[in-house]
Parts: sequence; C-alpha cells; structure tokens
Amino acid sequence: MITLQGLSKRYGDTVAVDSLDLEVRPGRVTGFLGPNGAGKSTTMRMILGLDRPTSGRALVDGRPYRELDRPLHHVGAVLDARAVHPGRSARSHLVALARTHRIPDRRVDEVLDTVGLAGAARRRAGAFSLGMGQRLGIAAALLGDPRLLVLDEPVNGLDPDGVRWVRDLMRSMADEGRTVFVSSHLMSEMQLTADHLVVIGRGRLITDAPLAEVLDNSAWSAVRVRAPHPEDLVTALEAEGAGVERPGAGELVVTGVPIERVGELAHRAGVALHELSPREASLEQAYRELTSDSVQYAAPTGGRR
Amino acid sequence: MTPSTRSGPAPAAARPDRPAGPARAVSDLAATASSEWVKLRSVRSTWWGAALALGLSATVAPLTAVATVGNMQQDRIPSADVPASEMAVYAAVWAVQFAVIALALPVMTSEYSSRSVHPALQAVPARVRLLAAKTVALMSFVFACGLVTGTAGTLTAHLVMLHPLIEGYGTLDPAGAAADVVRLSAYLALVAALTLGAGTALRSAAAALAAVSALLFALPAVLVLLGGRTGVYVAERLPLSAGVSFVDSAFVMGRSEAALTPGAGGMVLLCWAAAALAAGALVLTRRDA
Repeated sequence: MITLQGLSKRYGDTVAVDSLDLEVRPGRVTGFLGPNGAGKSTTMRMILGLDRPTSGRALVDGRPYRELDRPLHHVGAVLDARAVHPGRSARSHLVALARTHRIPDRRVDEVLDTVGLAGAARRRAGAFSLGMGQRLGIAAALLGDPRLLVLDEPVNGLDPDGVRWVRDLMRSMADEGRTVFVSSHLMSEMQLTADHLVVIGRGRLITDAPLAEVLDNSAWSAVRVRAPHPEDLVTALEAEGAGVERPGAGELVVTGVPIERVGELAHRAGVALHELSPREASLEQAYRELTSDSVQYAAPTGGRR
Repeated sequence: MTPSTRSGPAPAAARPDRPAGPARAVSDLAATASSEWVKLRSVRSTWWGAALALGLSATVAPLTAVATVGNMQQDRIPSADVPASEMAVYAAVWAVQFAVIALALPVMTSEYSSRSVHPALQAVPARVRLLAAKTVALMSFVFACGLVTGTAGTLTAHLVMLHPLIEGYGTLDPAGAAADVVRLSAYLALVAALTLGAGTALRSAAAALAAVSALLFALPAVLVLLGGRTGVYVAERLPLSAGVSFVDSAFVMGRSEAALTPGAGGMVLLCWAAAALAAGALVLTRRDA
C-alpha cells in the first residue's frame, strides 16, 4: 500500500506536486494519469525515496521508502527503462542489484527467464532496444518478489506481445493481492488494465475513482435513439431535464437519463423506435474532459504543422 | 513468456524486519560492497584502467631506472644506490595514478550519466552506505592493483639494472621493496578514494576530472610558482606533496626542507580523501537523485 499525505514538491517557484493525498490500495491495478508535466514522475520518484518532498510524506507500507528494511522485497519499480550502464550485461546489472539483498543468482536467472531475456542475459545493455530495456527494468522490479509494483510508462517501446504480457503481469500481480501503481499515456491501454484511476493535473489531484465510475460520469456517455417521428419523445425527455441533441433527422443523442428511462418514456409517448443503444465513453474522452483545464503543454488546435 | 512471477505460492505477505543495530549495518555494508564489486568487475573501463596501470608501471619504472643510472654515470646527479622498488614508486606517482584516476572516475559518475543511480538507490536507499560500499570495493581493488603493478615495476626495473651498461647501481632489498610496494598501493588507493569523493560531489566525470587534476597537479604548481613561505607550506599539505612525503622516496620529487614526515604526509592525504568522500556523502544525501 502507498500512502501520500499532503505530498508537495516545489522547484523554486514551480510547484510540481501540490499537496497530494492519496491511498493506493492492494489487490487492484491503479492507473496514474495526467498530462505531461502534471507531476506523475515526480510523485513516483518521491514514493521511491529518490526525491525528497518539500512537504508532506510518501509512505510505503506505512514507512518512508528510505526507512524500509530490504526495500526490494517491498517495492519493485521501473522508472526509466534505460537506467542501466550501457557497458554492463543484463545479468551483471541484475546480479549487482540482487547482491545488495543477498538474493541468490538463481533468482536472477529466474526473472531473466520470466521477462524473456534469458537469451540476451550476457549481452551489453547498451545494445538493447527500448523494449528489451523495459523487460530488463521489469526483471529488476521482480527480483525481490515485491508486494508493490510501481511502473512508469511500462509499455513504452514494447511490441504487441510485450504489451499484452505486461498487462497480464499487472493483472496477475493485483489478483495475488499485490499493489500495482502504473502510469501511462495510453488511454486505451489503461482502459484495459486499470481497475482504479488517479488523475492529476498541474500537480493536483483531479480524480481518484474506480474506472467504471469515471466512464459513467463522462458527458460522452449517452443514449442513441433512432425514431422516424421522435417529436413526442423529445418533449417528454426535455420535461425530464435530459439533454437532447439531434444530429440528423430521426436521430437523437440523449444525455443525463439512463437508457431504461428513455425506453419507458418512448413507450409511454407511443413513439416507435428503430434503435435504442448506449454510447459508452472511452477513457480517452473521459480523460480529456477531466484534464482539459490543466493541460500545460497543449499544441495549438487546428494550427499549422 | 508467462506472467507468473513467483517461485512458490507466496502470498503478498510482509517479511519481518530484522532488528536494527550494528550487526545489520555491517551485514548490509558487506552485501552492498559485494554488489559494488560486481559492478566494478562487469565494466570494461575497470579492466582497461587496470591493464593501463600495469603497462605503465612495467615500462615507466625500468625507463626511470635507465635514466637515473645514466645521469649518475655522467655525474649529473650524485651517485647513490638505486633501489628498484623506488623506481616503481616513481612510476606510481607520475604515471600509474593517472590510470587509477581514470578507473575511479566512472565509479559514481557513470551511475549518473546512465541514470543507473535510480535502481541503485532503490536497492540501497541508505545513501551513505552506497558510497561506503563503493569506497570499500574501489579501494580494495586499487590497492590490489597497486601491489601487482608495484611488484611488476620493481622487477622490471631490477632486471633492466642488471644490464652490463648500467649495472652496479641497482639494489633490491626484499623487505624495503615490500614496504615501498605497500606504500605506493596505499597511495593509489587513497587517490582513488579522493577521485570517487569528487565524482560523487560533482556527479559529472568532466567536472570531477577537472577538480581532481586541479587539486593534485595545478594548485601545487601555482603555489610553488608564487613562492613565499605560505605558498610552500600549503603546497606541502596538498594531496600530491603529502602523498610523495608518505611514499618516502627521494627519487620521486627531490627532498624539500618543508616536506612533511612520511607519517604526517600519510595522515594529510588520508584527510584529503576523507574530506572528498564527506563532501560526496553530503551531496548524495542532500540532493535529489
């Protein structure tokens, strides 16, 4: 479990992280989202004791990271896939990490096998592709069989097989009762993987809610109706306070009313329906709504290329 | 590829903490030093540095012997015994130590340039322990290199001084030679520690190299050039002169009246290395990684 209490980080006048309060719970995959510069990486670095908070605390299993006894058994983390000496072999990199915790070399070969790098174990890490670097980072994270996994953009650079493998790994870790905290820019990926979402913007917490709730609350979630003569239904819907758009003749997009209620109203008004279907928001759309106010580095829309 | 991560059916349960105390601290330092030794031996720069050190000692020591005896034969310097091991000491100070600096420089700076400092600190969040373990591994390795290269320099200098053209000057006293080789090894190990400390404090190899070069070579030259008693007094207490006093060989730099005794020189050099490491530890613990 990760606990953040009023966690803040300031660099001079810039506030990177602004009093975050958060609990990341075990047994589920928590997705960590936010625009570039929102403070995701800084938050993760403070959780791992690499950066010192300006104020507040980041606790892992109830203690600051720096006070953990044998931290690799608590937390496995991948912040940066390329954080390896380019001249060192993958295996030596892992053996060096393992020695700090008296983890036997046997375990190193085991995790190399798990991530599919057994064949490249003795190659210099500088020659690795980005995807292989990710796998090596994940191997290092798994070394101590940790209860908590912290991953920053883990599928960056992975091939489709690798993406699927990371997804399955996170799922199985969470199902085993471990805590999985993962940041990503890929909304489609998060929608498949995460159970719970934490969204930050400009260093502040925007949302901390289950994935399903975030999607349901999106304005994009709507009901699509096709009817040859919908006028009576429109009147009834508007009386209920629903939002009704009419993108085309005989076509309605209804927001603010559950789909069941739309069906009942149509029945009562005697309107024949050709279609009644839910339009589900994607995480991409929900995320855009949540963060539209806090994007720092937006490209000019419709601008020149 | 399977997503399975465990070797056994271990649920995600916490491991009990070990009781804190000196026993745990020593055990952790030993484990971390072992990790640092793996890092040291698994990069080429270490072995290039060691090979360079050996090559320099085995060539510079006999060349110095030839030059020294030649000067004596032509009465350019007073004749005296030329102990083979002191030729190795000369080579250590004027050649081998550059290889040692090159070897010690990346021990910390490469962690920053490759960002492998992040996984390193995740495994060892006690940062002073990380630096202490690097110091132990590096100094041990450099000391061992000093013993090997010093012995090689002594033997090659001895062999060359058996040549009929320059024979009659060289001496090889086993006890004295052993003491010389141990002293030059200690000198090199302390220079390595000084370099490690500078690298930790400055984080960049270029900056650390500039700082170490300035402190070891440029600053004493400037001070002596300026002259005056204060300049000489300070210069004798900088790492290079203190180290030369410590290795105690008249051949390395010529005897200065202001020179420290070997014991005092050793202490002063030790203090410089300790100060550099302390500065490194301060930066390492205070600054964000």
